[in-house]
Amino acid sequence: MNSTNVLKKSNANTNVKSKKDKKLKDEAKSNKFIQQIVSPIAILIIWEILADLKLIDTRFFPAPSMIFHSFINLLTTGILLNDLSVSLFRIIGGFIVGAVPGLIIGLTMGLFPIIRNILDPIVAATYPIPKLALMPLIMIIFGLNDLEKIVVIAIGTFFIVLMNTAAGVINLDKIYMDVARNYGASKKDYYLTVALPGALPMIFTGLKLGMGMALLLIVAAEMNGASSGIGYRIWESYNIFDIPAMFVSFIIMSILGYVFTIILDLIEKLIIPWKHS
Amino acid sequence: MKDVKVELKDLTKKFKIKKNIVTAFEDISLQIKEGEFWCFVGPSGCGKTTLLRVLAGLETPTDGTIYIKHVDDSKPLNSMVFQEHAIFPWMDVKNNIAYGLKMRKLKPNQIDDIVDFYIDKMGLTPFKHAYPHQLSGGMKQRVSIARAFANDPEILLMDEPFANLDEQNRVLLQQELLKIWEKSGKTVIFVTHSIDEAIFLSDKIMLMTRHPGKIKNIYDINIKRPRIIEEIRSSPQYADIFQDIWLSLRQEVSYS
Repeated sequence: MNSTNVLKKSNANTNVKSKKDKKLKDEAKSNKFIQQIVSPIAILIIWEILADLKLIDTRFFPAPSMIFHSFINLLTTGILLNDLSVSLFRIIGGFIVGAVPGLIIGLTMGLFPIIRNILDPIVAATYPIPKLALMPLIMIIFGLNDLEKIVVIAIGTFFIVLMNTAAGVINLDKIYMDVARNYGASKKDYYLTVALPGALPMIFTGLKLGMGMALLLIVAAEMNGASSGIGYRIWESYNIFDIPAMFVSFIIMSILGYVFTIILDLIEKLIIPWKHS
Repeated sequence: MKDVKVELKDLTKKFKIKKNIVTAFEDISLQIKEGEFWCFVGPSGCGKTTLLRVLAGLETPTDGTIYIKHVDDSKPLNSMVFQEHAIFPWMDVKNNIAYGLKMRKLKPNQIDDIVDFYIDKMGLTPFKHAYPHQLSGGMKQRVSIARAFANDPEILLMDEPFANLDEQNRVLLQQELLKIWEKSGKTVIFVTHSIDEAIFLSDKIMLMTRHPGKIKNIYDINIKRPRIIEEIRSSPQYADIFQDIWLSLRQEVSYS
């Protein structure tokens, strides 16, 4: 390998060769897209046919057309958008309330062994308690309202972000600390130029897992004491046996998860341009 | 006669591992003169890297003294070129090289001038804004060397910087290192396990015994500079020195 003058991945090349490369890349991309879209469409078609032929029980697995019909109904009555905005407020609220302290405490635990030693037993003791087990207590303390649901989601998010952030700082290669010391970095310099940027990839892993946890907990949190929300809609559909509406909620949850992942990926790319992709 | 730049007296380092006390190296005494290029060579586990880390101030010696002549207080005492993977992945080439200067709070335009000078010198201009994951191993070590020279320390310490490179890149970087060093006039201590590398680079070679490391012998390498690899490898002088050192080192290796 002649690596004296080879940049493995070139960012700013606009010559002819890279244009050709780009064309090939685009073609590969659209091919991949076609390949990937085939299977979901095939499943939908087979599902529809099976439902029409009554080969599957449409009480439990309503045909895609029925789900779509229910979707239009929920959309035009405004129920869907209302559910979405109510749940989004709780998810994002809970995520922020949980992630911000998780990040701050995780960083201090990672950076300062004393704080780590003091807090570790508390975290180790409280982390394994299933967040769902805490729900009844949270409901008694906060009542059946938005705040209670935000707290449930926040607790779930908090631990995941905290643990990943702390691990990100602790597991940083020791050689970076040697370099910082050898080149005269003060403690503050070390935190700002080495520990924090070095922990960013793990912090983002924590945030993504935390977001997944928030989506999981919203359904449980909206089981009791809610009158709207995506999670509420699932339980309401169960009560009135409106299975197509339940499926609509599943799909909305799936889309929410996808959109949040894309947003977090975008932010990650902006903040960590140096990460291997 | 040149001034003494580094003087080690009875330098010893012991570690406590569980209940046992392990000696990394002991009774190292030597004098390094201003502008000399030294290589520390020894079998693996002889404590040569630990010795370098003690000189760098990353470890404290158990016994003995280190004197490094600090001529200019505005300059750092030492800067180290570490083994691979020691440049920060989150900084581009420019900011990696500027690191020491930034920590020393130099003025931004001063930093820019110095960094640009070494970027140019190490052939890194096209990669000024590239991140380490976009660079080959050889390029990464060029950044590491530039970072140390840019910091303008009293002495330069190098810990097997080329150990993980392929042969062609290693030879290339050795030559570039000599070129940049000859102009700088810096005192260098370079740790390696390669006799070949040590002869090509240095004025003096300290050969260490197997663990626990002591000084086995010190060799003068009086090959004229500037040195060219193909000339040196084919010279009878090189063969003699190589033979000398190898026979001595082989005893140490085959003991263990």
